[in-house]
Amino acid sequence: MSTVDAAPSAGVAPALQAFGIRRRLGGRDVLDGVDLAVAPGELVTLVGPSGCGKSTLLRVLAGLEPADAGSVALSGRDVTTVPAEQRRVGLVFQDNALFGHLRVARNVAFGLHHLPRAERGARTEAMLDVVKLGHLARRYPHQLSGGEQQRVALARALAPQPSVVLLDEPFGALDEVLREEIGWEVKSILARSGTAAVLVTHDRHEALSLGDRVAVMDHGRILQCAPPRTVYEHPSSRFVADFLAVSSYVPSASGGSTMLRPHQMRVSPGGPWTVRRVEFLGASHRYTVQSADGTTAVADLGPDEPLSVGDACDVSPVAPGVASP
Amino acid sequence: MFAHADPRVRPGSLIAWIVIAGTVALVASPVAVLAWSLADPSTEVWAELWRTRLPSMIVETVVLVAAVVAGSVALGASLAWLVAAHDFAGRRAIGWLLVAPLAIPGYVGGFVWLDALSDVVGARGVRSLWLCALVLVLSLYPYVYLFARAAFADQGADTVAAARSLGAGPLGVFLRVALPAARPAIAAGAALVAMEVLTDIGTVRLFNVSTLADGVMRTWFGTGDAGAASELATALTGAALLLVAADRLLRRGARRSRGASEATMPRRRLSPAESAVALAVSLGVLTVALGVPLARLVGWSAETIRAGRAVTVSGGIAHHVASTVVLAGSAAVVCMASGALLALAVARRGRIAHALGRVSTVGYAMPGPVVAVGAVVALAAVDRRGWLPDGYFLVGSAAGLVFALVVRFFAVSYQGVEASLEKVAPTMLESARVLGAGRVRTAVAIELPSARYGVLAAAALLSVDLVKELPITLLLRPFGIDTLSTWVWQATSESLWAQAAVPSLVMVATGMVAVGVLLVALERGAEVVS
Repeated sequence: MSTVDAAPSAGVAPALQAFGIRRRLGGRDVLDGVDLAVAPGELVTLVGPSGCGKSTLLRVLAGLEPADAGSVALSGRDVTTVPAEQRRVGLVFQDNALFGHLRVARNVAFGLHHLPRAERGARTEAMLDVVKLGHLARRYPHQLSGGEQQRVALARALAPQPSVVLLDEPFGALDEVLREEIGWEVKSILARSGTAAVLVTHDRHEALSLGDRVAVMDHGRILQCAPPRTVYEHPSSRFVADFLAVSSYVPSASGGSTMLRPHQMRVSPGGPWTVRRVEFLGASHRYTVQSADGTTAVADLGPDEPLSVGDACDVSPVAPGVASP
Repeated sequence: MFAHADPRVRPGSLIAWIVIAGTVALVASPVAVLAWSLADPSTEVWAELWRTRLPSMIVETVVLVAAVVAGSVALGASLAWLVAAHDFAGRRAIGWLLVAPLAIPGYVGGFVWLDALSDVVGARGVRSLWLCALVLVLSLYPYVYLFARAAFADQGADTVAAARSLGAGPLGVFLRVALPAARPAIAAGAALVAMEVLTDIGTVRLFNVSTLADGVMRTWFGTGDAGAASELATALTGAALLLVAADRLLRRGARRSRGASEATMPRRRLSPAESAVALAVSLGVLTVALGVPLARLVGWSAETIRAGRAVTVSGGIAHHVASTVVLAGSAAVVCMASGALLALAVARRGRIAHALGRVSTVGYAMPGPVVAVGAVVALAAVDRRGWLPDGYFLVGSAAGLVFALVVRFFAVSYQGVEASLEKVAPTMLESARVLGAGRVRTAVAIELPSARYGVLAAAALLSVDLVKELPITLLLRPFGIDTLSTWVWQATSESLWAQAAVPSLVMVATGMVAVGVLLVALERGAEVVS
């Protein structure tokens, strides 16, 4: 099943539109009919477990990998058979792939080869200003910090003004503190340049916090593509629900079950449930509790810790929740 | 809409395959021609050879190769361990200087020691296989040293720490961890040493050792019997192929032992007493391998120049330097250009292309006299067909000589460039493509500059090899043209040591510069990669 909430379109062609992309590698359908549309200026995060095909999808979109079937269009132009060097997409790799023998400015100018010299210089300068690295233009990549290298890679990809930038796990090599900061930096740079982007990540928090829409992928298919709040609160499948965050499934009056995220549950002392695990999350505690018949539920509670492992307790929903997919 | 076109297939592909096929066919032709002649062996020649000289030639060749390899491995690997795993005053300088003997050809070190020792033991006793082996070890151990040192330095700090925590002492770490892990690298160095011994004709002639290579040269010049010479060349080729097989076998299971983020080998600080011993040993080796030959050469050179005797029939030093520069220079340029072109065409083009590329390196596994004989046979075939304008012949021309030199040393440039191209991150090339660069621009603007230290190292190694090259130049040089190495050859074959000093000194100085460039390139290249 593939739910594609088409990008909001007001008569403008999508920056990127892919239909029915298939790719078979080593006897396995790595991409099994992928549809994806990205509106101009939109940032779609593509998230899924490792091996789900998200990096392959990016390579197909960039033209580095052929599709066995399907089509790719950029701003309304069909590029399915166009080689990578003529597609004009931006691409940022996890290792940044900066050209080590070229200065920062020459790296950024690399994709502007077709422009006259003066215009090339002006565009490079403008691009370095967008990523706030104008003062480092004469440095070599190895003289920069990890975050600065990331911004150079982004500036290089954005300089030729592609209709879409593809980012393949761009923050994978950065440490956690830097990741969040750079993540927001990248989002605001993309917004400033008005470029549409697809950002691949295996980190669900990153996917939810950075994306205008989140595409959840598994086994070569996009299972759901929708705004972060929608995929989180109204997942289209059990896989999407469980991949993005842990939840409790409580029997509902209608005979089905209701899905509740941890913040929608409350735990209180005394009752038929037993506390099995207590995790300290900083601003809250997360309780995993179990009933006599083996059902588990998860609830987040404020900073006090009224219960410990083994205590008897009761759980109750504080929000209506949604019918479990 | 369904589209099955592969956007990866690019218009440059056909050109690349033409480059690969053409280069490989040209470079491998002399060896192919020899293999052809093998199909039709002349039995009388073989019977004659077998009755007379062949058995003793084989024995002397095997003993000499074994002795030089054993000595070079022992000396090279232990010096490498000393420099890579220990810290003492002067370690850095000594680490560099220990490579310098590479610039002194065996046949130069040979006549220096021949002269020095004949005062002590008498000229007759000096001319022995064992002294010949010793002299060759002193000029060839740097191959093992270079490879082993890089392999030791590359071993992970964690591996060593783990071995120590399991109770291994310094010697235990060396024998049980470091040495086995460096085995493939040491084998690679040893293979180069063995190859150099097989191809040597200058040193063995000085010490009256009759090896197969010497046999090819004597047969060629003595009897002028091309048939017998090429039969002997075939036997020599057999020995070389055995070596290549042994090298493959020893290098099996070669892999990087250090994790990507792991620190490199820690160096143990030596106590003052230990430092003194380390210094004494390494300075001793340097004195014998470098100091004595240099001092002798400088002394003799001053003498001959003062006496105005620094000339040969072909002319003065200027003539020899000029012809060396022109011949070695054009061979180096052709070699580097075609080697880089082939490496670029082969890079990331799959297994068939790589296998074909490897065929182009057969010349390096062939001793010089073999390549020379093969080239003459191949070039003569072209001459007979009269494809060239009237009056022009390839045999005996400078072009013919350059061709044979390129065939012999093609592997140095091709493999050097190829190895560093392989290290260029694929994402870098894909980034260039996505940014609109075609195959040619990617090669010129990204691939070659990224591989620049590998290219530089290959060029340096190539010039060391070309300047001291002897057998091919001797056999194929145009009439009236003499290089530095043939001058040394002529003077030493008449036992005129002092006469050989000036060209030797120029050769050694050139070699030293090239070795310096090589070391800088290797060091920078290692930094760039890590």
